Amino acid sequence: MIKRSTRIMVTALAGLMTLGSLAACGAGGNEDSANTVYIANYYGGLGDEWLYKAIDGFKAANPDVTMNFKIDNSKTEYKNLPATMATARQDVYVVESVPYIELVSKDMIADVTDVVTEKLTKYGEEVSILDKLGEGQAKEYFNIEDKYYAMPTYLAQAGFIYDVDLFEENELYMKEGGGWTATENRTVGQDGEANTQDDGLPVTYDDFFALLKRMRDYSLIPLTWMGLDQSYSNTFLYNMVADYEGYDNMLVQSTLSGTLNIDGVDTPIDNSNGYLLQKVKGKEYALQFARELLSNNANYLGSVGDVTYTHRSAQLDFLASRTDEKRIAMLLDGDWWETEARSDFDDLVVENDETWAYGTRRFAMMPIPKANDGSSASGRTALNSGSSTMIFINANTTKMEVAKRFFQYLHTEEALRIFTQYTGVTRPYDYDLTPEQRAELTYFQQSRFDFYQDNDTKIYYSISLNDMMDQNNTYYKSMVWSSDVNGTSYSYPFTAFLLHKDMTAKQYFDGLYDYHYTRWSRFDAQGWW
Amino acid sequence: MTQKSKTRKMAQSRRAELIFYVTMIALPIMQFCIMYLGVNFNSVLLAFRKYDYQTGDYLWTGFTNFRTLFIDMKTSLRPAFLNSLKFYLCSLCMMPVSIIISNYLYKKKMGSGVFKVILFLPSIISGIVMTLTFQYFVEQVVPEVLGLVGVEIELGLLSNPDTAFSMLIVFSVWTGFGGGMLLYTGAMARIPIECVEAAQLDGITPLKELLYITLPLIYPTVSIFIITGIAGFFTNSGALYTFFGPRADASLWTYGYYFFTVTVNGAGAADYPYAAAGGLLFTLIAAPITLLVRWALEKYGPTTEY
Repeated sequence: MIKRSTRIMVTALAGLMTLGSLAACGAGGNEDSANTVYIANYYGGLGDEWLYKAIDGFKAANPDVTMNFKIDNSKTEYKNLPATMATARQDVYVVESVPYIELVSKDMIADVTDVVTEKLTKYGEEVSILDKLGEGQAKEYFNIEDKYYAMPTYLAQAGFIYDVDLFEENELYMKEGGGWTATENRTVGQDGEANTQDDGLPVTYDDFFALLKRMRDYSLIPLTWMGLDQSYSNTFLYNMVADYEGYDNMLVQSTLSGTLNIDGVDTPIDNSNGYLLQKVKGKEYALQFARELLSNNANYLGSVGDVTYTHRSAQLDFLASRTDEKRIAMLLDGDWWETEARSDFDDLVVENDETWAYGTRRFAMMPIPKANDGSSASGRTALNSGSSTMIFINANTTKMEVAKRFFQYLHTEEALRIFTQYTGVTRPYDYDLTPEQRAELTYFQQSRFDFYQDNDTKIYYSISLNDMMDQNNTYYKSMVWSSDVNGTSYSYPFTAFLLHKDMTAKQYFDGLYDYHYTRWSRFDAQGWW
Repeated sequence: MTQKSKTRKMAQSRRAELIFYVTMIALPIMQFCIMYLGVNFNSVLLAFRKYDYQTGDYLWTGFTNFRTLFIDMKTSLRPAFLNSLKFYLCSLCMMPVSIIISNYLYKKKMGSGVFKVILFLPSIISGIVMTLTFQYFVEQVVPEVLGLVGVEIELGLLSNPDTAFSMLIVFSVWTGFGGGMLLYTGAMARIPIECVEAAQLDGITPLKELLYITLPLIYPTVSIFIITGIAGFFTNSGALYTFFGPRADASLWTYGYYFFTVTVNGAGAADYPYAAAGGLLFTLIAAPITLLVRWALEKYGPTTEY
């Protein structure tokens, strides 16, 4: 028989444990949660300084709003949003890797059609958020049965970031009429106009490899990138495909609908033959580029084939090599890199001097080289690697009115400028910067802003606009670079080429088709045609 | 106190105990019903459904997920089968080694204390420390050492898909050794000392002692390892996620890793029915085999009671 005292003690303990766990659910200290708007923010490479500034701006522009705002970076597992949002306290989300369609289908995010279509007159603007977003793929993606539930956060592209100072010091710019130069008499570059940032930079693949040779001759290490995984290199190569194929052709990759030139024949693409997308010329050219790049060990730092070599290590090596015997000329990374590496700049100033400071050194992103035979699409098409970054409102929020007003404010000219001013990254809307704000940006950030705001630049979002692919999103991701070569499956061309010096671009290219052709019957089994 | 009041008091006391018991047991039972029975029942239903993005509902779709799965098993998942098999066979092969070393420790032979610490260390040290140590060793130290002796390698041993799988097996063996030995030495420690002493008086050799006394007496532990190994065939991720996250090369996948990434890093609701079909199919395969092996091990293995 259990003693009465033991029973009481056990019951009390059980009660305490239960209360303890319940208390944890509402852990909020002394916060006035009913009067606080919680914002989930993916800290990532962009931080949260811009968001604090935006909150200040919102409060200044809306003095009638008395609520507090609190940024909560703790919820980093945004892939689990469908499971966590219903009970989460966050009202507004600024996050990445968002399963947009699923959240909408589950009624988990609020309809913001009213605030995105309303003209922003109260902020002195005669356009709506949708007007600023413009026509195109993003607008189509976010539109679900004529309603909008989220808006995209930022634009980013993976590319070769080069050290402008190093290029000048080593005369790495192409000279009109042949040869190399530092600043004088540069070639006009891809845009065909003199005195623009691409002057003297490679126009074609051949130009690019000639540049690499010159770098090697000068005992420079042309490139570095992270070895942790090859996601950046995959994105970069797909960016090359987008630039070669052009925006319209790339839309077929998203929709599986349209006509493409396959093996010299105009071929209608639909769900039943989507595997033919692997045969587009852009993929072959990109693979040829990768093959040639990785054929010579002297083109890259040895660490790129090391899984312990992270993106941060690559950034630091790139920056710190300035005084090394062998300097690194270029880094494969994205628009966010400079903000992400800010602490490295600061550390290097301590170790060296102020000439190493953030904003003092000049960097820029190299234009994607075009095919030698002139077959690349005209203009520039940039693959947005920030495709699934979004801002939206929790449908369960009890502060909907303030949340919507804040959401709308985040897309005003003022807030868009704040974002770029403090992150250096551009948002996918039509806006400009004041001269003062522009002056605060680094050389790299200014060049990126100009690139995205240029009318010749079209942005391609790597997102599905096809029901079959929505239902098979894991497979859709493999549509980019999965290939069967000699009975082995590869997902990363860079890894395959680093490892197998004898593997040809043609083998990998043919393997793309083989991989998907043999697996496409899974969609037939699902009854998609 | 009358007999009647005594009986009533006892009844009251029993009722109070019953209430106490029910109160205490209700929560775990409820949790078991919801978190285990409910979840698994839902998973079985999910295997025959698909997610509809238009309505946000799961719709019945018959055996579609299984058909998709069979096609994937013949194509994308072919390496996963072979890799899962390699992991299982490797764990079987390591079992005798583990038993021999455990026997050495159990016998407290020379240096056994030092060996015990060395071999248990991976089980004691934090997983992330072990992972990073191993990662840096095979990615940086080994290529550096090979470079010193004139062998240049392009990629680290984990970065290289040709050697990565072997490294995963080495890591798995290294970190799993301690756990296995803990159980084996525990089982060996329970062997009645009289048995061993009697055999030693009869002049038994150490090898015969291992084969004819120790092994039969720890047989239940050995059989548990064999049985759980079969059940783990479809679920073993082999530290792939630890090293590569969701981006491991397709040639390295195991079934366990593939379905884990589909669930955690996939398309969410749309991928769950497919993953559920995989779970159900693998249960249907693994459960009878596991039961069959258990039956065979019990029927044909040594029967020991002590």
